[in-house]
Amino acid sequence: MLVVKDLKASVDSTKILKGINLEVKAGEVHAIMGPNGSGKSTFASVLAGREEYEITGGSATFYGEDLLDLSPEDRARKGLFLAFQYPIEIPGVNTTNFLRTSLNEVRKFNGQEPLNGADFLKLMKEKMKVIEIDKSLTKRSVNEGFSGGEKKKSEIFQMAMLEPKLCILDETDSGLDIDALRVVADGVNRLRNKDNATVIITHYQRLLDYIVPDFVHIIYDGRIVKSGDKSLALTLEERGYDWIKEEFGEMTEA
Amino acid sequence: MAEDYRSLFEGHRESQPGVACATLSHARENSVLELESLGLPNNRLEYWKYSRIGKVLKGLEVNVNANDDALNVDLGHLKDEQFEISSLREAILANHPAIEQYLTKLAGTKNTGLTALNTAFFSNGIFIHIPDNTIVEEPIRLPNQTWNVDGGIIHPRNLIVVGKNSSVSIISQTNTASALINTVEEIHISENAELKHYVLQDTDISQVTSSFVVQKRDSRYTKVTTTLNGTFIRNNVNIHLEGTGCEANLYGYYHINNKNQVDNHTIVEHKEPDCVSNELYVGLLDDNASGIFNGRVWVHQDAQRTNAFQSNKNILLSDNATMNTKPELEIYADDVKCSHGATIGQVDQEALFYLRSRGIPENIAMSMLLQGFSVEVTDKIADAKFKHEVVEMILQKLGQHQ
Repeated sequence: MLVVKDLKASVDSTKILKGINLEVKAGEVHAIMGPNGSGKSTFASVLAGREEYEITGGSATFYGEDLLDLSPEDRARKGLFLAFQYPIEIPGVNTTNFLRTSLNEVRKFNGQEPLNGADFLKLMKEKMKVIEIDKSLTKRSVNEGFSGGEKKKSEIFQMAMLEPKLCILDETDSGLDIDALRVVADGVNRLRNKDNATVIITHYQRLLDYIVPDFVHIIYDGRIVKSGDKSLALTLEERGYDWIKEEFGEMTEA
Repeated sequence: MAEDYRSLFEGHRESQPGVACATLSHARENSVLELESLGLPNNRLEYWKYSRIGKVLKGLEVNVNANDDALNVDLGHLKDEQFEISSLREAILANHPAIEQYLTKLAGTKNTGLTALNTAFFSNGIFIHIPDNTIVEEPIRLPNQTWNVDGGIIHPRNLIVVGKNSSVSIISQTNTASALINTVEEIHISENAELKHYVLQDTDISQVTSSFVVQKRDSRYTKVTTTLNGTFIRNNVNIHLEGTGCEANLYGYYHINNKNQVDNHTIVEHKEPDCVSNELYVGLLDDNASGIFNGRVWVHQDAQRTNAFQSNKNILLSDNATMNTKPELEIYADDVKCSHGATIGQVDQEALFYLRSRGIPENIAMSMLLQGFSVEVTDKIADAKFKHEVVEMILQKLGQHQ
């Protein structure tokens, strides 16, 4: 589904990604872990198409198609979804209208009829139940005045509505208490199936207690330095990131 | 051209409506004196800094239309047994008691040149009188006022009086005239009365509107001005809170382009304790357009426990658009809550990316964000039908931007 080869990216001529390699297949869950400043969120942003990053090398394909060449909206329409680390508040833009515009744009792009008001509301009601999101949130402006937990839940709710192929969760666990974390993780688990894939970007292991990954990758200084199964996350939890820094630290100088 | 005003005035005074009314004649006389000393505005005056008024007035002559009924507006279909509505001229000629009591009193005579000019030369406009204890359910929607004149400066004059414990909504649309329209409107809101005043400016004209609003105890005034077109639009709103427990809400949304200018000047005078004023003006400036916001809040010494809030937010859609914004707070009371804020920026790129990352194409995402910007103001329009109409017009204007 997603094949990333030697991907390099900079912002303001500072090299952040220094050659990322990753392959994600349908049905898989990948966790990308790493210390602060290692390039985790940059990797997510580059995949979603944030324009302030300059791609300086390598490639990323999505179902064989050059991902890096697509506009952010086309990536979304082809099934890539980024759950933001810091979802943006958009005053004056009603959540329901936003979701309906979003869903119908995605449907239109994929040759489906846009949903009418009644069908849309029915679908929304269904998905709200799955994510256990409060109805009142959909009546407010996008993310405006939402608590940290509500914002993250709202991201997962949007994901449920759009049914993407590849979900990238960028530090979705940050700032969540244990109850909110469980609700978010339950939502993600319910949306998993054999045709879609999930990439979880996180600093901590605890989210992985709820969403069990097939693969764990450690990103450090703009590269994936170690990959393994879920036990790698437990090792990290036990030994911290210092061990990685010691082992791979000299690469910074290289 | 100071002597011109005098001779022009003398030449037309006999044909002006209300020559027999001593108060009115006196006010006109004073205005001519004011005009002779003040002259018309120019950019050297702080009140007209950044304004294009100098250019607009250049070469314009005072158009005296006292003799012919230049105002062409049909108010017949608005006649109602609950209230009185007529042309101002009719009300003056009929010696309506409200004329003697309020006309020229609210605007005063110590004024800027353009208001003095209006007072000296006005001949017509609209008169609305809502008696005491009257709840008018349906908004009074004034038709477009067309002035059949050939250039120069014209002087529409409106008087609105809302009686005690009464409530009404008034919707007014742009005037049309091939002249600089120098409107003065006087509004008196009696004790415990409410006026919701919606103004829509969407035609390609030059206009200065000076509103003088006097509010009595426990009265409420809400004004929502939407400006979507206009070569030169200057809105002066002067609020006098003359009783305790008043509430004044001034809201505005503007979106202009080309070389046009929109200028909102507000003055809120808190003269009595326990009043609230809210101001929110937001707008978009495109192409070579320029915008001005000047909001002055004056809290007099007796106006304890005043709450006054003011905010002006702008988005520049082009590198050549400009905005000048200035809050002015003058506070002489010690127990008050006042705040003000102003922003001038571009479209939030983070928000734009967020919408695009959900599959929404850039142009639609842009429209959604810009329309979202206006919602805070349009939400203040309580009349659902009119609100819908305004929102549609805002969307249409945003569509043209693409």
